[in-house]
Parts: sequence; C-alpha cells; structure tokens
Amino acid sequence: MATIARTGKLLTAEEFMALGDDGHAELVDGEVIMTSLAAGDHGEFSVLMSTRLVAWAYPRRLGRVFDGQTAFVLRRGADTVRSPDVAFVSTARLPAVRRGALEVGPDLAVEVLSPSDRLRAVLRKLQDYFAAGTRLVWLVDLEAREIGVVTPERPMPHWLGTADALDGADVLPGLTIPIGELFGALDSPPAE
Amino acid sequence: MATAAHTPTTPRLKKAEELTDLPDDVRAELVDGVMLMVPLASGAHGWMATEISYAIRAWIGDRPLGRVFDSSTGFILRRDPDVLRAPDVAFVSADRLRELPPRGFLELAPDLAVEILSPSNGYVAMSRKIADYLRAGVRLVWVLDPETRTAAVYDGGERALPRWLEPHEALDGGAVLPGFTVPLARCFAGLAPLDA
Repeated sequence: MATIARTGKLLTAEEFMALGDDGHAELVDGEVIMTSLAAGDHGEFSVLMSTRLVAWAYPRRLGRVFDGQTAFVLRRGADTVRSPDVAFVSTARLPAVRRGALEVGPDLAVEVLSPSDRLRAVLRKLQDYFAAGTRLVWLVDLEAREIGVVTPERPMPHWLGTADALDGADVLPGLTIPIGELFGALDSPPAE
Repeated sequence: MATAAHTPTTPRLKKAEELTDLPDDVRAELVDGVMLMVPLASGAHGWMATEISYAIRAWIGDRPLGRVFDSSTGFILRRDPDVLRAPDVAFVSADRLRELPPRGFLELAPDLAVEILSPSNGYVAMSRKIADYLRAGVRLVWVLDPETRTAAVYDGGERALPRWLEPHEALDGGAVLPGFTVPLARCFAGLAPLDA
C-alpha cells in the first residue's frame, strides 16, 4: 500500500476500496494516506465511546454507529474517503445501501488524537467532515484527559475536562456522557 | 504506580508575574496558570523567525506603525487563571502601545502573532495556543509549517477555519499591516530540501 502512495496516481473511491482491507489508510483528494494502527488506550477508548453511543441511539432508533474501519466517502471529484475512530449517522441521513463505502458524512465523528497529529492534517480532516455535512466532531486528547468539541459554527475546539460532560446536542438529543466516566473506565480495571 | 499519573492533583496556579523571576536560561509559558516549558528552537526555526521579523521591521521602516517583538517576549493574554504566551514573532500596532513599560510582560494581545511549527508541536498543543490568541483578540495569526512549506492564516476570529496558503503563495498583512506581503518561498528559502 505504501508504494501506491508514492506513485502519484490519484485513485477513485472505488479503486481505493478495491485495494482491500489489509492495510490502514485513508484517501485524501485521490491520494492514499497511510494511517497507523491504534495504540491500546486509543482502541479501548473508541470501544467505550461506541458502547455509549449504541446504548443511547439504538433503542431510540436515532441512527447507527460505525467503528474506525468504516469508509465514508466525503467528497467526489478529488475523491476523499475517511474513517473516523467512531462515527454516528442519523436515521434520516443513513444511506439505503451499506454494502460498500458509505456515501455520506457522519453526523458525529469522534477522532482520538495523538500528540504527533499535525495541525494541517487534522484541520483538513475537519474541513472534509464539515463539507460532507458533519455537524459535530469530538476530538479526544488521551494525554490531557480532555475532549474538544468542534462544530462547523465553532471550529476552534472547546475543550472539556473530566468534570464536564459531552452533550449530544441536536445530533443525539438528550445524550449526556460524563467525561470522567469515559476516562475513568480506561484507568480502572473492569469490574468483576 | 500506574495510577499515580492520573491521580487528580490541583497544583497551585501561578500568576504571570511569578515567571519574571525565572533564571535567565529558563523559558516558559503559562497556560491557565500551569507552567509549560518552552524548548530551545532549532536552527531552521530561529532563522525563519528572524527572517519574518526582519521582513516586517524593514517594511515598517521609520513609519510609526508599531513594534515587532521576538520570541522571548511574554504577552499576558488572560487573567485568573493567567495565560502567558510567547509567539515566535509578534507585532503590536502603535495606537495600542505608545510607550514600552521598562519592565514586566506586556499585558495585551498582539495584533499579529506568528508561530512556526516544529516536529514536537502537533494539533493538540498548537490549536490550544491559537485559541488563546484568538480569544484574547489577536486579529491575525500566521502558522508556518516547514514540513509542507505551507501556512495557515487565521483572520476570521474564533468562528472560522483558517485559510491555507500553498508554497507559491504569500503571507499578507491584511488589516493589521496593510500592504505588507512576504512570499512563503522567502520564509522557507534557507531550508534544505524536504526529501531527506
């Protein structure tokens, strides 16, 4: 996969999907960008977050939750395919066909950041999401135990700490997730 | 021991004034009252900051437009908890700073703040710094990215994503330094080629 990135040939979303799922990559303006596998706490946080979203959204039929392997086609032309660590798509915007990549921007995208994530890369990602209709992004800083809330109207993250709670806003109405509980579950061993 | 790192602690928050007494060889910023050490800059970083300062200073010439400050200058951007930041380059217009206080940090937001990215500061650290600037009223922020030879321009306050300038474009003084431009190519001109 890495060699493809260097040939300079731009791929369509379909060509990108046909590469198979043996690697971890995103497609940005037709260019394959390799992404690294998630660290342990990163991967576990994603699961904890998904669990919360599923528990709230599914009984209420608000929409569906997708894991970090899921391909979202955010742009056509200069094809862009991204996979947020956790994504939620509302029932109203859910594509009828889900066998291939999802042709929609998720309503909520959760991205777990690492200190090495570059400014330009993250900002491009936010731009791609918002252009595709994403209404809410949660940026997770595992080191600082903080979560940055970003919306198209407020693109500078509003950082919340362990004393605060995430609010589903109009994307997941009524959902409240105490941030201390999310990170607390990472720190303490699972209950018997 | 593994839990020690996450045991809730409430360190006493510092005031900006406490940082004036630091030894000469220690540089630090204050983020919501918490001290953050500022590492020494790389050669490329220091050179670029100087080049940009010089371009602005030379363009100003003898006109009473304002003052340019280097990266050792502390700006108190907020109080309680205190936020003290040191942009790589800063410009303060003359109408906001007639005379320089002989001692102490400057208790104002610069009109222009310039940051040069280094491999150690990613989105998490830099977005916080930029947010501090914009919230304090900095009108124009340039963030230069030597890795991609591009720059982000924040001139729409807290509610706008930045514009990205590609390597062939130029930084523009906008409303802060009307008429001033410097090509990105000049800012990055002294750097060795990227493919290393």
